[in-house]
Amino acid sequence: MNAELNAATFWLGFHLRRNLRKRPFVLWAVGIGLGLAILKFGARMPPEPLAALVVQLAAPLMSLFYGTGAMREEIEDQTLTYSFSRPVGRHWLYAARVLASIGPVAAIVIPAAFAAGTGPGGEPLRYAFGAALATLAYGGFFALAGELIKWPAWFGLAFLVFWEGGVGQVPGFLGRLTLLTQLRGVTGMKPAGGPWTAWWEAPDPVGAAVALVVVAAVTLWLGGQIVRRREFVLTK
Amino acid sequence: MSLDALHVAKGMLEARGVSKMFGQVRALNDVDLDLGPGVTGLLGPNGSGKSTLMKLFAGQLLPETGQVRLLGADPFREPKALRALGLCPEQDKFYEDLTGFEFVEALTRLHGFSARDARTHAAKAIERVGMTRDGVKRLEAMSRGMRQRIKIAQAIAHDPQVVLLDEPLNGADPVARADLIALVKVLGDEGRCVVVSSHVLHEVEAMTHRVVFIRFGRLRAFGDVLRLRRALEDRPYRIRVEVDRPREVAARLMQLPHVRATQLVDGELLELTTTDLDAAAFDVPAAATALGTVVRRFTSPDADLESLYRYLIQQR
Repeated sequence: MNAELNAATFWLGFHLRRNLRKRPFVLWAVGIGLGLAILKFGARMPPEPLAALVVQLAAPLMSLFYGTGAMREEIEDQTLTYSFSRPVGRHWLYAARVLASIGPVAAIVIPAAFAAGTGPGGEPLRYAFGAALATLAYGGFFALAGELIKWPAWFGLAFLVFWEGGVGQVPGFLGRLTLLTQLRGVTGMKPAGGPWTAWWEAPDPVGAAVALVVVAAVTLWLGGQIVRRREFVLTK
Repeated sequence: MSLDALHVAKGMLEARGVSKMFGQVRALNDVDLDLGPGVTGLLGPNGSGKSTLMKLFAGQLLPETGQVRLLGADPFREPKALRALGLCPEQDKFYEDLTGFEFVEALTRLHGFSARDARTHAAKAIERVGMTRDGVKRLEAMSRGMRQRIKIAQAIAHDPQVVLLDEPLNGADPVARADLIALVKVLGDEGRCVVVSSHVLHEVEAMTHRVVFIRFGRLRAFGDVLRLRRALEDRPYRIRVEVDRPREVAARLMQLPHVRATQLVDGELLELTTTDLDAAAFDVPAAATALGTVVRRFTSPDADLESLYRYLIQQR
């Protein structure tokens, strides 16, 4: 297992370096950096709502973009054969590939959340921690969706708009089933507005952090088990 | 008619009653195969099931029925068995942003080698395929032949016992083909189990005489080309002999029990049909000598792989 873990760690680093060199990463970094600068220094937006844009919008969207493509890219490029014919468990390779895919998300949203959170009333470290957990939880979830669903990007968008954006506003038990509510618990951010804001109760930050880590771990493990058992027919 | 004419150590690659479906299409049907050290050519027309069999051996696919074993282990469920496998896949796909060296080194590291060891192994493999000078180029800038060599390098860099080469000579120029054919033969001589799939017959014939024929997903024949040819007794050999006084030689040869027919082609060229190639190789010169003449040329257009392939492929 140690050898497999070493190989998987190498594979993670290998793909992470490749992902960080690719054009989409540069575009995301420039886009989010510019947007952040304009809102912070141009529009003088306060730290919390600005950090909320990063943690609650940019992180899930980027995780959707990168997470769903974690394995799909190798399947469509037909390069999966090379790693899957090596003496490393496929679940390890899957985990490495998913973490390498969400690495660029973390590389952008964590410093962005920290930068957005600086200023009066802001909690930059807390926001950066929330961004890290958001990347892990959404990344693991969307990578699993990429394994199970034929059109994961459409599913992911619907999930973000209707489940996270809709149900996430509902106070009580139902709302707590969303990643967004747990994320708000970690970062201490409140919903921006809406009819139920008065009844909204922040989840316990520690419990919320644990919930997000569990979601990340379970989705990563489930995805790995699927990849381990599934055959990938690249060409017929 | 038994066509299994192999007498070598086996058990490195095994398929037992293996069938594989893709939707409604049966890609492989009840295939039994047992391969040992040396080079084996996997032959068949496009779509016959060669690549599917390769992918099953490489643990890329699961059979619907039957078992596939790589050195006794299930290559799909026991990835550790893949330590002994080198696979050169058919598709011309790479991590295009890498150089040849980086590509081979990265894949070698997945076998548990340290960075330094992987670099050494990659350099050796790249040297073996004759890409030392061009290995520093990015893969996207390489010719098809160079990419093919790099693909073979990544398959042999970790020194595997079993090497699967799916259409390895695709896109290679004539010089590269000769080099790669020589390399495949050396890999086989080193005691590795090397399986080369191709539909280009003369290339396979240059690498090995041990062949497996697949057609419509079924194993049609398996063994040494000459022995297979002999096993097909219902289809005699044609032999062409260039000799003086061919009519007299033909009359003499017709008295032999294994000679079925003789025919004059272009004046001095005698074509005879025999059921025993070995006996003919002895009797034809003897008949010429008895008539005070000599055989200038003796060829058998039916003894090569091409004719055997054509014959087997025509069979349903």
